[in-house]
Amino acid sequence: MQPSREISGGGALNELIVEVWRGLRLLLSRPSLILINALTAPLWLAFFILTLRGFGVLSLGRQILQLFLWAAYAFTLYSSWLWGFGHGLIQESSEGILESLMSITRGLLNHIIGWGIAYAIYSLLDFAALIFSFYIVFGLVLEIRHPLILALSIVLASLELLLISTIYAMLVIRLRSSWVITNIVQFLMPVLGGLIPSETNKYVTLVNEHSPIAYPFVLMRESALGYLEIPIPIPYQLIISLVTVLLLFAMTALLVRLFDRRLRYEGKLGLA
Amino acid sequence: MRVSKLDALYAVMVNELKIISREPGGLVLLVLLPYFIAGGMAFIASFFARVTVGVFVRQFLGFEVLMLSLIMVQTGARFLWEERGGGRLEFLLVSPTGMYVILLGTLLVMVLVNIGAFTIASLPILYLNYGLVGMVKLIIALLTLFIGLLPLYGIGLLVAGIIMRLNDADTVANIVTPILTILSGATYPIYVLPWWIRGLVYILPMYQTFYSMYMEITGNASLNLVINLVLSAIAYLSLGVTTYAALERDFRRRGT
Repeated sequence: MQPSREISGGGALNELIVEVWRGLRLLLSRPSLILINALTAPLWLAFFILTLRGFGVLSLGRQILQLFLWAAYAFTLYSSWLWGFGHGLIQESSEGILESLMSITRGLLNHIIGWGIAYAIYSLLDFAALIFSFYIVFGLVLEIRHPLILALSIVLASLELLLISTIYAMLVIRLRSSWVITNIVQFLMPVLGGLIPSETNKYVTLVNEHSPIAYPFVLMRESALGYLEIPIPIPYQLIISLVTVLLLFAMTALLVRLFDRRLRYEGKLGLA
Repeated sequence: MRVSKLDALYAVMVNELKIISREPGGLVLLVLLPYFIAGGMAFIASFFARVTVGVFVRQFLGFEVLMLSLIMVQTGARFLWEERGGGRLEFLLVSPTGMYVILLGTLLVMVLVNIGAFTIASLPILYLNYGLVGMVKLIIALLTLFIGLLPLYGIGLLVAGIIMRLNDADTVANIVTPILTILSGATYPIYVLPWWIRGLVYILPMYQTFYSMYMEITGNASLNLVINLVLSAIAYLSLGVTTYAALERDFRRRGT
């Protein structure tokens, strides 16, 4: 395979835009599937609530439902980034698309970021489906106290998941049954990543406070509901989230370079 | 050389088992996933209500039955689609073995694998809660599970008919899965449902399977429930086979 080409600013930006456009066209190519996902989302929510009833939970207050909505969104984000985006990269490798992309583009990182931005835009549809479901099932109207911080937290969470999913995909890409690991990781990672509201348990508060990947998700709830979950001021939480994203970006860039080199010169997929 | 139907069935089953054993991780997941889902739900519920061991066992059984049911429906629904996609369906149709033997073979293997996964997953929980007596009750419950999984394959074949007509497995699966999940009645009290939805829950085999198994494990086995399940198995398998027969006629007349 040919060595990577030099990256110039303008060319790289153009390529990034092309990647975003390509990703969006691909993701929106089956509108029937998107519509069905949106329409069946209330059924999944109703099943979840009915199952809680099976465990003996008889009623849920408005505040709890608002918390559920944000927890559901966090889980959806984790799950869909790992499956849709991470496994999307794995599928590209198994279909030989990565090699083709490498021979015509300036580098894999551009492709990954472009595809990730497209996926982040697409994942807003999941959010819309959740809001629709909570409205249909409970008549719940979404409360947002600080929209700007909420928007920032969603962007930070998406960037964080883009980078985590990329690292994850590069680690498991060579495994035949990577989907099995993803099935387990999609339950474990959100627990460490801010899915559970801090007020549920003092240990959860500790996890949310000490896990850097949890901050964007905690911020989401705090900005929407208007109170602090962990005893750290919002600007500091934003800074911690931003630093986490930057560190993850540096790590991803380094690992993608390694991944690219191994594939380009040794013909080997993955980091492991 | 002439091969008897039984030999052919055995060969199909061995072949199917080999295909499944290529992904041992999938089998591990079948055992672990109910713990993650039931455990996660119990964790959430524990903030609002007291989750006793008895409640957890019932919910765990419910999730197990639901998960295995969905796998059975998917197996039936996707088999023909995937064979056609891989270009094997035409070969299977002209094979001297006969498609009904092949479908029966895949059905039996999936049922046995699911029963194996259920046994491994539920053994620790049932032993801790009911002791050795629970093990004996588990054997009876496994027989019920065997009967209960059969009609789901029939439903899968019915869905396969829709998939082949619409030519889109993902879309159909994305509609059917949440509907069957909510109509399973296996993880919640069905009296909270409107009467017409409750009727649908009673008609489908998931609730019957779960409730029969739960009653057997808790020592309140009911013969009526098992008879209903057997009748359900006959009805849905007949419907599934009829659907498949119509599909096969269509394949032979117009091509797949």
